[in-house]
Amino acid sequence: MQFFNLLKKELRQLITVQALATMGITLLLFIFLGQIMTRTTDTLEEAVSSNSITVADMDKTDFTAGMFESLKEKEIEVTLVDISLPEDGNFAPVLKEKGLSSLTVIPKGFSAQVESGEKAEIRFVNAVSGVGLSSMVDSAGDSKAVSCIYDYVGEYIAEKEHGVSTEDLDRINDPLMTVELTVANGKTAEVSPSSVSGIMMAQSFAIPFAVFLIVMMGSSSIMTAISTEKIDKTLETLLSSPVSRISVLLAKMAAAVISALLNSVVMGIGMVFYMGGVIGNAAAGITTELEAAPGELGDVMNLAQAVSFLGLSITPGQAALVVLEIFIAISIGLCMALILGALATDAQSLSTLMLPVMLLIMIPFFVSIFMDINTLGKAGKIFLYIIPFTHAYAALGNLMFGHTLVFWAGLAYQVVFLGILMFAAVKIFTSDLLFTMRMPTGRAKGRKQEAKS
Amino acid sequence: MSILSVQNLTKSYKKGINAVDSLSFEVERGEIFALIGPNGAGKTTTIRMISTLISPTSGDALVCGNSIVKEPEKVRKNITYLPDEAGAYKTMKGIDYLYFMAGLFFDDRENIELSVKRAVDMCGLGNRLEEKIQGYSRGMIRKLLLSRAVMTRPALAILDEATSGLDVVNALDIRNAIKRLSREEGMSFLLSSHNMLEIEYISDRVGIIAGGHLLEIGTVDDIKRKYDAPNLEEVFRKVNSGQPSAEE
Ligand SMILES: Nc1ncnc2c1ncn2[C@@H]1O[C@H](COP(=O)(O)OP(=O)(O)OP(=O)(O)O)[C@@H](O)[C@H]1O
Ligand SMILES: [Mg+2]
Repeated sequence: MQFFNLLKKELRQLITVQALATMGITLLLFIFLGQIMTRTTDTLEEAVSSNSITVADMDKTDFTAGMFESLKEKEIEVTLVDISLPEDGNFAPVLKEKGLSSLTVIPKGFSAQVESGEKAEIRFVNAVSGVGLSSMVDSAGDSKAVSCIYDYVGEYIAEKEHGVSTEDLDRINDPLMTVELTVANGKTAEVSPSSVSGIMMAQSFAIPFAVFLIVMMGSSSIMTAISTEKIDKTLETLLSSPVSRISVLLAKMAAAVISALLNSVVMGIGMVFYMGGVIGNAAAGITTELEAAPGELGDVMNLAQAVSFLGLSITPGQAALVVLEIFIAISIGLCMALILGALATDAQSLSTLMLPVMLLIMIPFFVSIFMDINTLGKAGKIFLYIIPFTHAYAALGNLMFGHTLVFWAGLAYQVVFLGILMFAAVKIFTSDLLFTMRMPTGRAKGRKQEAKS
Repeated sequence: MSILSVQNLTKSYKKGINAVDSLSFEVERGEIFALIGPNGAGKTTTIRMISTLISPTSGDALVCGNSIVKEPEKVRKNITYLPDEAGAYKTMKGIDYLYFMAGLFFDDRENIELSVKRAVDMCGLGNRLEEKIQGYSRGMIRKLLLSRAVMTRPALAILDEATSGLDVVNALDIRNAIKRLSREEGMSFLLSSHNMLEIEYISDRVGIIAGGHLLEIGTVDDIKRKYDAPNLEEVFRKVNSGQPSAEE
C-alpha cells in the first residue's frame, strides 16, 4: 500500500507532461524519418530504373528516328517534344512551359557528327529544386534511357567503322560474369557482402541506438529527480516520515525502470516504423536482382534466407540474452544516476555530475557505430569493455559472430558491476551518507554558509 | 514521562571535530522548546539526528520512549519534521501533496481525510490548493508545509526555522496556531530559530547552543534574569561574544 503510494508519486515525477511530449515527438520524428527514407529509396529506385525519357529532337534524321525505335524496343517510353532553343541558353522557361523536370536535347547536326567520326554532342537539362535527398535524385534521372542512347551510338560506330557485331561489343564491354559469395561463421552463401552488411547494420545500429537513448534519458531524468528531492529537502521530509528507506529507494528504482521501459516501447515502435521502410526496400531490391542472375551454387537464396544460413540472424534464445544484457545495462545506468544524483547539492553540481555518465554512455556507442569493438587493439578493447555499457552495444554482434565467451564474460562483469552499484545505493540510502556525502569539489555550500554568518 | 529525552547526543562529521557535543535536554508533553544559537552552532545537526535522518556518533535520544538509534521506525511514527528552506514536489497540486503525506502516516481513509481537512483549514490557501506547487510563493509553500507538519497530530513536531519567509501577519498566525496546538492538543514542539522575538513569544523553554555545546537551558524569563538582559536578543549577543555573565 505504502510502497504503491510512493511508486505512484515517483512515477508522477518522472513521467511528466514534458516527458510524454518528448516521447511523442520522438515517435513522430521516427515515423517522419521513416517516411522520408522510404520515399527517397522509392524515388532512387524509380530514377535509376527510369523507363522514360523526354527528348527534344532538333536533328530529326533517320538516325535519330532509328535510335528512338531501338529505345522503344528496350521498353523505354520516349516522349518527343517540340521546343525552340532558347536564345539566351536559359532552359527554365522551356521546362516550365512543358512542365518538365528534365529534358534531353539532341542538337541539330547530331547525326552528321556521328557519321563524320566526331564526338557528337548531346545535352541533358536537369531542374534542381529543393535541397533534400529526393530532390537531388532527379539529376541522376533518365540514366537507363541515357545509357541506351550511348549503347545505340556505340553499336552503330562499332559496326560501321570497325565491323564489330552487337554481340561482340557486349562481350567487350561486359567481359566477365561475377558471382559474389559471402563467408561468415564458416559458411558460404551466394549474396553480396554489401547487402548482408546492410541488413546487419540496420540491426546492429538500431539496438545500440535504442539502448543509448533509453539509458541517456532514463539516467538524466532520475538524476534530476533525486537531486531535486535533495535540494528541495523533500527527501528529508519523506525519510523522516514513517516509511522505510529501502521502500523509498525501491520505489525510485521501480519508477525509473518503468519509465525506461515505457520509453523503450515508444522507441521500439518508432524504430519499427523507421527501419521497416528502409530494410523492406533494400531487401526487395536485392532479391529481384539475385533472381535475375541465378548463380552456380544451386538455388538462389533470398536475402533473409542467406542471412540466417550464414548464422547472422538471431535465435529467440539469443534475442532473450540480448534483452537481458540490455536490461542490466539500463539498470546500471539508473543505479549510477541515483548515486550521482544524491551527490548533487545544487543544479550546477548536478550538470557537472551528469557529464561523466553521459560520456560513459556516449563513447562506446559512437565507437560501436563506426567499428567492431573486437577489431580494436588490446588497449582499446580493454578500455571500452571496462565501461559497462559497451557490453550492451556489443552483445548482438558478439552472439552473431560466435564470440560467446566475450558475451558471457561481459554479462558476468555487468552483473557484478550492477551488484556493487546496488550495494552502494542501498548503503547510501540507509546511512548518513545520503545527507552528508558531497561532490569532492563541492565546497560551494560551505562558502555560502560562511557568507551568511 | 517526557516526549523527548536527549542524552549526551554527539555528532562529528569529521574526525575530531564535534558539530554537536554531548547535548542533553528534555521536552515535556505539550511543551514548546526552542534551540537558539548562531549560524553553524549545530541546531540543524541536532534536529536531523532526532528526526532519524543522520545517526549520532555517540549518545542517544528517546522520542516517546523509543531510541532514535535502535528504533528509528517507531520514532518516525511519532514525529514530523519540517526542514529549513524546504520545498515541496513542484509538479503536485497543493491538495495532492497533503493527501500524499497523510497517506504515509495513515492507512485508513478516515484519518487521512481528517488530517487533510486540518491542514486545509490551517494553511489558509483556499482555492490555490488546487494549483500546482510550482506556482506558489515562498510563504505559501511554507504555510503548506507547516500545516502538513502538524496535520497528523504527531507527539513531537520538529520545525527548523519555523516561520522563515513569512510576513508578519502570517508568522503571527502560525505562532498562534503552534501555541494553540500545544495547549489544546498537547502537542510538543522542538523549534529552531534566529528570530528572538518569536522565540520569546512562543517558547516555554529555550536552549542556547554555540559551537555544538548547550550553554544554557531554561525558561525565557530565567535566562533573561541570569544574563541580566532585557530581551533574548541581548542574551544572544552576550553569549555570542563569548562573555556570558553566568555566576552561580
Ligand atoms: N553534511 C555536513 N558535512 C560536514 N559538515 C557539516 C555538514 N552539515 C553541517 N556541517 C557542519 O556542522 C556544523 C553545524 O552545522 P548546522 O547546520 O547544524 O548549524 P546550524 O546551527 O543549523 O546553523 P544555521 O543557523 O546556519 O542553520 C557546522 O560547522 C557545519 O559546517
Ligand atoms: Mg540550520
